[in-house]
Amino acid sequence: MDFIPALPTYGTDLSARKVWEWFEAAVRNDDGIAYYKHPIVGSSNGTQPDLTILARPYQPLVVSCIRLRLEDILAVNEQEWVINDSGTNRTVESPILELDDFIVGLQQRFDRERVIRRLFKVVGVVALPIISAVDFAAKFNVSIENAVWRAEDINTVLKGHDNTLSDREWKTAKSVMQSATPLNKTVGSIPRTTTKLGDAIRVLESDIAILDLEQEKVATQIPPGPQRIRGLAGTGKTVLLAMKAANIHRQLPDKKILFTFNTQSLYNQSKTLISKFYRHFSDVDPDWSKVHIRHAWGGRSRPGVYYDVCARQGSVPLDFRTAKATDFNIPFRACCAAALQGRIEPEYDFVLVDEAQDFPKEFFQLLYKVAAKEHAIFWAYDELQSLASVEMPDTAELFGRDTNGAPLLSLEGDYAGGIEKDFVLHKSYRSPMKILVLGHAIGLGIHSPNGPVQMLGRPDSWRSVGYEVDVDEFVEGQAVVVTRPLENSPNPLESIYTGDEPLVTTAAFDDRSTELDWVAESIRKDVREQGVAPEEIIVISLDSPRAKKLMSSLQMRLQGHSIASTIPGLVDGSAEFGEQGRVTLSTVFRAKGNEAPVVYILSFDSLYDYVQEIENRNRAFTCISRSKGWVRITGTGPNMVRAQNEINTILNDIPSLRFVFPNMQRIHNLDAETSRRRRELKRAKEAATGLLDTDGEALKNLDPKLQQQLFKKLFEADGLKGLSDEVRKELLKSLGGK
Amino acid sequence: MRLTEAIGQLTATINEWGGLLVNPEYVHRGETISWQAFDRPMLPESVKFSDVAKMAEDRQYSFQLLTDGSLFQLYYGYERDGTTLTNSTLSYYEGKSDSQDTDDEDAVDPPPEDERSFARWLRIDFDYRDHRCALHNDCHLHLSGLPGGRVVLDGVPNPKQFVDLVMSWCYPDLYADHCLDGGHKGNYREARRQEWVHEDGFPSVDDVLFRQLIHLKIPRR
Repeated sequence: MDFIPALPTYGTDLSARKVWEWFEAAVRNDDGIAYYKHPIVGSSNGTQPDLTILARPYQPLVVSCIRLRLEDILAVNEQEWVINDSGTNRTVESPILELDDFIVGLQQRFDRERVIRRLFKVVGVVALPIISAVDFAAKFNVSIENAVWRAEDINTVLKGHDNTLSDREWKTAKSVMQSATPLNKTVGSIPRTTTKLGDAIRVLESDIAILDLEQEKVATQIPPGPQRIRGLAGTGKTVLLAMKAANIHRQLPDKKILFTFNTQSLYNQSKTLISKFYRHFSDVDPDWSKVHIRHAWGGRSRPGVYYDVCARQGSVPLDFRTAKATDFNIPFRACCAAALQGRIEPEYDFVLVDEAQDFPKEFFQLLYKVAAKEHAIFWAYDELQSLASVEMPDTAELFGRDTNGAPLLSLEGDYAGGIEKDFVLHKSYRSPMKILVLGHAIGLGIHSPNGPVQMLGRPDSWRSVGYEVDVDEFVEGQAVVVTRPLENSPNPLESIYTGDEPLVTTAAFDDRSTELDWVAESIRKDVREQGVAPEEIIVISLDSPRAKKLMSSLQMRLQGHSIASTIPGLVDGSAEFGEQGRVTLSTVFRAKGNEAPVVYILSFDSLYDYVQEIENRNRAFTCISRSKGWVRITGTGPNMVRAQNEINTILNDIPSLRFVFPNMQRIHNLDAETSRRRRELKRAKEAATGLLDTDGEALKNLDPKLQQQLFKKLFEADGLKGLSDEVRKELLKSLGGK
Repeated sequence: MRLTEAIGQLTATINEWGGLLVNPEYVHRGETISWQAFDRPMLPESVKFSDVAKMAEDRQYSFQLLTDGSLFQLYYGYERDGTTLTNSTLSYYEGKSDSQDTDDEDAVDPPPEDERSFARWLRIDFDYRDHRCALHNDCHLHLSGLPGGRVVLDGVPNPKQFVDLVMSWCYPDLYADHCLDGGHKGNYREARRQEWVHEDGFPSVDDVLFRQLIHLKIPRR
């Protein structure tokens, strides 16, 4: 039995603690979950039950604790109680009526689900831990149904089920209690194992959404200060933050909440999720004047955190060009730094930050200032998806220090009620283990021919993302083995799908056209032969600059197979993705935050891009980790063959990654190396353009030796790789080379 | 031009532009050619980029331009016999792509919100019930930035002509790359292409008005 206090007041709520002790003693060994002040149900005046308990052998319980002494209760009837409130007599609504609101509310939640309809009958309990039953009866001559006065009474309110619950019934009930039912999808009757991709996807989708304990704490608890939530792709960070926002809004409707993120497409997704979870509790939409969903930047047509701050300051926001001129690598950093120069007033009681790894520390400093004095900032961070660094900065680095040098925010210790300040979501649910580990290995470049491009430098960093490591410290040159246990990647696809289609497929082609033909034909087979719905397929191009053209070519090929597709987000600000009946053809940027059972990655040969290897490895990880099932990786030429070899080496070691620990200094210097390569490429482009602009006669008169050297260099650098063999031969002949 | 020929032209136009026109949504329903989620949006004179984004999100288009997501809306309404055009609305709305989306190191990133908040647009309206007259002719062109102005046309462009018009006016670089020889100042690479564009059009109107008024002439073959 797990117990989750949603509010820190549990720490000082002695009555509730005492009553939970009594219940805990009775249900300690049962499967189940209990909450303090869970917002799943509320009374007409917005209060929550003190305890909500779901133990598998028993009917669900809602418990109201009466914290009054007998002498403070002056009169009792069905509708009202008269109490002594610090010397003044006051008439209050009978707690039994409030409890009835809770019972009706929770019962409705259970009755909404067909699987468990009529199986559950919610029991309302009034707990009076500081009053004796005998004295109460003597004073008022009334009895209270399902009252608990002492530990011995607990067994009288624990009512068993008529029949033992099946696993499906129990999971559904748990999903109801966790308010996770909005995540469930309705599917028809399907076999539990299958050789068809489409059926396997249906089985996967039919799984009832259940939060694990870590997730549920993140979603339910409302800490009075900062909280960090760490988790990889697929751990549910966005969903949990949305649940948290909905819970806060439900519990504390007057408080102002900011929900912010980096990817535009998250705007609609976040709004839909928050709305869905809130509507689970309420018949009306959230009050959007209290819950602000804001992109970090914003703009004239859509508000954003930075634009809003500037508007409140009365300052002119930096435009992108100016920001980029100030800070070429991270223009948003320049914006935040400029805003921090002005006065920033607190605006929000709670700040929730998704994709925190994508923001510069200046943005956190800005958030520190827009947050009210408790600085209840909750940020979800994915160490392995940071485009800037794989090692997470500490809070002092993020938020800064005070004048005495002490960190402005600290994650040391827990809040009252045992609410943790720093969460790690170890389990990644989206991708099967093989795919997630492949994504990590490719992203870090564990088996890159040039050595790793990024590295988690400490065993603890690996552990925090769900790997097991045998050593306490890494040493350069040491053979390292890190292993991902299956329990941390519980996607059950491999036990559902018994067909021949491997989870990871790679294919190398001579040219792009053949590659696109193959992808279109493979998608045709998925849809027509394997029963995969078009919207369950995403195609992403790793070659970002040419992505749109590739997608357009693929769209024409798919049309030839009568398969509809869409290239989403061509217009800035539109956020459509995964349209019903259409295959999604996406850039990496657009694919972020989305997922699909079947993912194709085109132009994977870009993994070895001269300038963008680090960025492209990050992008490759993003692409691979979008998959809930299968990944098909294609590309052209020798670089794709290299990529195939790299992938095969990785797959051979799964569930482990085996590598020689690299020199961390070399890795830290790779940024500088990337800048050097960027400069070299620019120089080469300028030189080539200059040469092309030169009068042909002048080139003819170049020293023949120099001509030969130039040609040799181009040839050796494979600078003619874009030409066909025939043209190359022709060119060589015309230039008199060999 | 019959309805069936017009729908065939839409497919041919997309193919001819070699991947620049994407996300086809056009559809033939009863006596009309429109798009799947067809809904006649009431847009103000000043159309914001956010309005265009909303239309894109709601799939209010026949197809989009790959480079910036601009929207093309082609609506043709026919008599029941499918041969006589009764009304038509052909629109273009300028889109703006997200610079972060390309990750193109050579791209000059615009700001998250460009200096310009308003999109350029143009629209050709035709309704056979309207009068043939100088200022509000039955077939006329509206241009963003010319509120209340109606440029008279001597006929309705076919789908190929409308795309040709938009591309040559709004995307001269793309147009030159696609069909001109020698950049902006070049001539058509293949005269046959232009013959193809203008064949199978809607009939032009021979009216005294067109000898009196400055107007746009839609070529016919």
